[in-house]
Order: sequence, then C-alpha cells, then structure tokens
Amino acid sequence: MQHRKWVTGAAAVSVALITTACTSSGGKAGNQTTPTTGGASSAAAQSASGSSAAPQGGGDITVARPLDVIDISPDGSFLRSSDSQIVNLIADGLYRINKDDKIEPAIAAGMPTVSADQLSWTIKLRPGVTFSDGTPLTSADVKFSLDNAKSGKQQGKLFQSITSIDAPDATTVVIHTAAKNATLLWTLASFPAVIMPKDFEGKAAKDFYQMPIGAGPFMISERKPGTDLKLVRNPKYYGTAAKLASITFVPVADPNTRVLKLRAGSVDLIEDPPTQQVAQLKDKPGFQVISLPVGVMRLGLNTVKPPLDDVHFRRAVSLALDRDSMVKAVLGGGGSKACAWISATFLQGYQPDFGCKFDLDAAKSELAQSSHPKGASFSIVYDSADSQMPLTAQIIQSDLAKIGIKVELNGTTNQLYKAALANKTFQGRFSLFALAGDPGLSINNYIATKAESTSSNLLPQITQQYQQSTSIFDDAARFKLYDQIMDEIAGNGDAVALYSPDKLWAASSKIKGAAILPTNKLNFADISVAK
Amino acid sequence: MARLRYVGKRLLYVVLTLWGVSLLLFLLMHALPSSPGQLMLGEGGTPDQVVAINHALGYDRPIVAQYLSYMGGLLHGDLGTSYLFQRPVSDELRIALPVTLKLAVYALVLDVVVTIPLATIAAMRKNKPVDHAIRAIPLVGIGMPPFWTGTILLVIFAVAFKLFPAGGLEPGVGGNLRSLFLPALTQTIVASAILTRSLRQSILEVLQSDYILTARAKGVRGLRLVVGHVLPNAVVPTLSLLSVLFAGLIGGVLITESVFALPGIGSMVVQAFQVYDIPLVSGITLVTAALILVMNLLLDVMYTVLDPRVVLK
Repeated sequence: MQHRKWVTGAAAVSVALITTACTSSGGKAGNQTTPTTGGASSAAAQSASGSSAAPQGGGDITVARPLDVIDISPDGSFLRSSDSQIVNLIADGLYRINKDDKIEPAIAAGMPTVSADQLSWTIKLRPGVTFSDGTPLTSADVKFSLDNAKSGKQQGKLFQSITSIDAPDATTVVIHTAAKNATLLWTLASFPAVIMPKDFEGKAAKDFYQMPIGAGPFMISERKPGTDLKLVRNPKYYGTAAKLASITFVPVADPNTRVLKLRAGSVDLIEDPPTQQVAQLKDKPGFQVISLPVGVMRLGLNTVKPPLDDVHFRRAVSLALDRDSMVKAVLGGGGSKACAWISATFLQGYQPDFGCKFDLDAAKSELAQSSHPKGASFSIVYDSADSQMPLTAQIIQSDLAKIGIKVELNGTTNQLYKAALANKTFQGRFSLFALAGDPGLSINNYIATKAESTSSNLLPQITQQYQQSTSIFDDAARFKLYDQIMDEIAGNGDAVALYSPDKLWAASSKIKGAAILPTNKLNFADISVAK
Repeated sequence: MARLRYVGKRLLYVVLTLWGVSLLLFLLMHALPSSPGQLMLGEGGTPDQVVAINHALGYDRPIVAQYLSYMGGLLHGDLGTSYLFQRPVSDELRIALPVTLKLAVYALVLDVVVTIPLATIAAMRKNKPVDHAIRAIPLVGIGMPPFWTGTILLVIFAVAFKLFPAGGLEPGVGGNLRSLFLPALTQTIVASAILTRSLRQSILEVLQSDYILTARAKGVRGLRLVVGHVLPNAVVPTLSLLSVLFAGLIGGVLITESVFALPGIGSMVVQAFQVYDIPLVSGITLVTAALILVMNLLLDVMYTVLDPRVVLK
C-alpha cells in the first residue's frame, strides 16, 4: 500500500461536479450527539450575535471563462463548473466545505443531532439569516430546496436516501432517511443542496433561475446572456462579507484570446489558460498562475469484450503503463500520476499499490497467465479533438507494444465517442473522472451509471460494499472500506487510473488571495484587489 | 412589373430551398448515433434519466409524428428549445443575430472602403509598381487563416498599442464600432484580396470600352471619370462575387467571433456544437441559410438597378 503525502491544500476535484468532501468533519455524527468543528462554531457564534464582518478591501474584477453562464439552477448547473461556481457564490447550503477540505456549518447553526437509530437528522438554522433581498430564510425554504434537489434530473440520485423532511418550527429541520447514510452531510454540503426561496418566490422555476437569489456572499446584479453576468457583494450576507465589491464574468471561448485579454488588462482572471502558455505567464512579471490537480484520467476497459474479459489481460495492461512518462509528455509536468480512479485527495492520500505499479516483467507474467499469452489486440476509442486523449492513446499504444499487446487507435468526433460510451460498443475508452467529496459519492455515481459505461464485472460486489459503507459513521472504518474498493478496482484492471491533470487559472498580480478550493471552485469570496 | 414577378418567383425558391434545408437538418438530427437524452446528460446520465429526457422531448414518438411537429413549429416561427440554454431558440437568435449582422455589415463596409480605392489605383496604374504591390500584398491575406489573422491583430492593436479592446463587445454605437473594428478587419483582409483583383479586372475592361473613350474625348478626366463612368459599370460583376463572399463571411464569423469573444451566432454555434445542442445548431443553420438566400436575391435585384441592361427572368 502506498500512501502519498499531498501538498497542503492540494485537492483534486471536479470540472463540474459535486462539492462535498470532508473526511473527519470535525467529528462524526453519532447517537444523539452534536458534532462540532472549530471554524463552524466560531462562524455560527459570529452570526448568532448578528454581527457580519465589515467588507474588507473592495474592488471590481472581470473574469474570463470558456463558457457563458447558462444554467444557474442548483441541479442543472451540475453539467458545467462555470455555472455551479455561480450557484456557490449566490447561495449557501446548510453546510459547506472549507479550504481545509472539512465540512463546516453554513446556514446550519451547528453540526446535526442524529437520532439513536441514525435515521433522523435534526438541524437548527442560524438565527437572522436572510436571502439577498432581505426575506428571512426559514426551515420551509430548506425543506423546499432539498425536496427540489431530490427531484433533480442530474443530481437527484444523491438525495434518494432522504425519505422526508420536517420543518417543526421556523429554525429547525429534521431530515429522515430510509437507511443509515454516513455521507448525508457531504450531500448536504454539495452545490445541488443550496437553499433557494420556497416556491421560487411564486415564480415558475425557469423564470426564477434567470435571476435567482440566495443567501450567498454575492448576488446577481445584471445578466446579459452571451455577454456577461455581474455579481455584487451581498450586503445582507450572514457570514464574513466578501472582499470584492463586484465580479463580472465574461465568456471567451478561445483560450488564446483569454490570455490576450489578460495581457491587455481587460480582464483580471482567466480560467483554463492553454498549458503551452502557462510557463510563459508564470515567468512574466505582473501575472500569476494558480493550479491544482483535478480529477483523474483513466482508461476504462470493457470487461465483457474479449480479450478484455480476461482479468489477467487487463492486469497486464495496467502494469505495462508508464504513468510518469504520461505526466511529462501529456501534461508537460502540469499534473501528477494517478493510481486510483478517485483522486487521492479524497481518499485521504490513499493510492492502491497495484494501480501505481509499472513493471514490464510482472505485466508479461500476467499476460502469460491470460487466455492470450502471446498478446492480442484491442481498440481504444477517444475524442480526437481532446487536448490530452490522442497523445495518451499513442503512449499507451507504444507501452503495450512492448509486451505484445497491439492497440488500435480509434480517434473520432466527440459525438461518436460519446455514442460509443453510451452504447457500450467500445473496448477501451478514456474518461476524466472528477467528483469531489467523500469517495462514497463517487462510488455511488459509479454504481448509478453502471461503472460509467465501463461495464465492470465488479459492479455487484462494489454495490454491496457501498451499501455497507453508508451505515459506517466512523470515518476511519469507512475509509478503510473505500481503500479496499479502490484496491479491488485497481486489481481488476477495468478502470485503469493514469494521471491527474492540473486545473489552471491565470491572474493579474494585483489579484490577491486567489486559490482553488477542494471543490475545484476559485475562492472568489476571499479574493481582494491590490490598491 | 417584371421585377416584381421575378422577386416573387425567387421568394418561392427561397421558401423551397429553406424547406429542403430544414428536411435535411431533421434527417441529420435523426441520423446521429445518440439520442438527445444521451447527448444532454453525457456519460454520467443513468438510463432512466436518458429515457425521461427523450420522452419529454418527444424523441420516442414515431419519426413522422416528430417531423410533423417540427414542421408545424417552424411554420409558426418556433425553432424549438435550446438544450443548452433551456430557452426558445428564437429568443437566443434575437440576442445573437444582431451582433453577427453588425459585424457582417461592418465587414462589408470595410470591404468597399478598402477595395474600391485599391482596385481603382491598381487599374489606373496598370503594371506599375503600385499595381503589383496592390495585387500582391492582399494575397498574403488569403493565405492567412482568420483565427491567426485575428490573433495577430489583437496582439498588435489591443495588447501592444491598446488602441482597440481585446475582444468582447462594448456597449453603445461608439463602443460597438471600436470593438467590431478588428473582427471586421480580419474578415476584410481575406475578402478584399479577392474583391480587389476582381474589381481591378473589371475596371480595366471598362476602361477599354467605347463609352469611356468617348467620355475622355469629351474631356472627362480623373475622379469624375472614375466615379461617374467607370465604377458604376465595373462594380456589377463584383456584386456577384460579393454575394458568394457574403456566404463565406457568415461562415467566417464562426471563427472570428470566437477569437474576438463576440456574443454573436458564431460564438453561439461553437457552444452549441460542444454540447450537441441540435435545435440551436439547426435554428442557426436555417436562419443563416435564409440570410444568404435573401442577400443573394437583394444583390440580383441590385444588378437591375445598377445596370438597366440586365433583364431578370
């Protein structure tokens, strides 16, 4: 087993997805106990006394991102990180993930009280919390928002363990689950669980989400589709006020143009600068680059398609891959080797030993035990327009040729690539898996999407283990089970982890305090502008 | 009356062509190997979710029923609902199309402003160094892809000299003119090379004609000769070229708008392609086809205005 120490604050995450996490959460939710965390308590105490910190710094910034803001509904924003970022800025949930990758109360006054049978979670709300329009936020809003989240097309599956929600008084919410759910807090800290006004303020959902309001550090001031979206500091925010006075998001699809706009000074921050220009920006006075490993690129092998239906053959593939070379060649060093299909950050640094191994002799030995001892061929389908997949495929082809496995490269359009995945007609395929938070969420997703089209023969076993994990409230014990699942998947060779690419932002040096959070979101509420 | 009959007949062709385009688009949509549900949810979607979305969109109905609904919608101006924006396609086009049209018109104006003097000078100085230069330099423009030309213009005029905005659309007439200048120039650099050579050739032919000799014999010289006698006759063949270039220009904005981060249909279609927003792509294609057809019709009618010898049949 190999545990890897990660740089403090490093946390790989999702391009678009969930924002849960936390490993210890400052204490487990036990029988009739009220877990606490230091940060949360102090935040709650501050709010309880009704004193929001005065705005610090100030300033207005413009941010260029590849996509326009399209869907700001908590569920719909799942598809694009650019949208879920906005959701997280204008609305808070009962809980949130802090910069240390721990859960802390947001709108909740503290950690929940869990019933003796661990099926009911009682959560008190902070007093005095209002939406950005000044309307008080009550338990009815929480109930409405969570019921709405449960019916979400994209992320409703996360909330299915919730059977009912009670709102006995304006500041108390009781959540009932059908079975024990050790990851419920992480679900409540995810962006689909942010709190919106009950009944969308009497509007139709699609009308409300044109200019939604919430109880987050910012609120929408102006939205011009295709042109820009402007957020301003929420003066009624219950927590520490954002330092920036306003943020304007503009869509700039072309990555080179984003860099040019930064260099021309017409924007202050850009998302996803081209990797080729990162070194240049780092060296250029007046600019800074912010990075964090994000997600895991993996090779999915279809376990029902020969020769990949042979576990020894798949293990030979995994052992013959030189992941360090991939990091250098494909990422230009901007990332790290991955040994498990869930980011090591969310596995508390755990890395399955087998998944890390690069051993040609062992690979040949596995191949000799397979039903294709002299090698065989299989194809890998990939999106030929992707920035990483084509080169990765070529390296894999070269690596596997050394043990007698021939790889046919099937580079195709994004559309046909997705069709091959959806119809499971592929033998090998790539996928950038990026789901932040407790590994249980990723494993749940793995099961719900049938191993993300990988057709893993391990699904029944993983499903059983996942169900077992949901009733283990002790973090250490649950993570031990997660480690076991990671070992099993790595050893089965159906989801071969390759590398973890960096998420990149570039900024003018006048931007202070910018960092990527474990949720893969930039910490806009903490950013300030140098005078 | 003849002109009116001609316009009526051409409008009928426009409608028939658009119907053909719409039929082709509908068939292409259904030839895709993935259903809308699969495209919208990607690989993270569960089979149940995919089925639910397909049902909500009516994709599980017989193809004939879907086609009738599609055509019924089109006849009522309903281009469908964008998967990406979750709003009617017509609403999205209402926002984006004006930006693209402004860019196209700006580029056309720049084409005229650049082409006419250059072609005239080249023709009047035939085979002189200035003629060679005018004919040769624009060829560089043809050789440069628009995304590269646009990037170079941004580096020089927006980043280095800060004369124009580095992409985006500034509000107001002045802001629009400033921010659309470099994108329009990008289009013009390509188009003017072709137009200049064509117009120069026309001018040379006109200069050899009897009525120019007559005008010269009467003492008409210089600018009066060019503006009053040469250009009105020389510009007609170039108009037909302009109608072809207009189609290219509309196609070109797809790249130019992306490079310059302009919120027009070019940028929109790039986003729509990324997520396979079929209704939006179809809507943009239909509207673009309509624009090109109408533009061609207008130019054909303009021939008769500029040259009364042209008879429309």
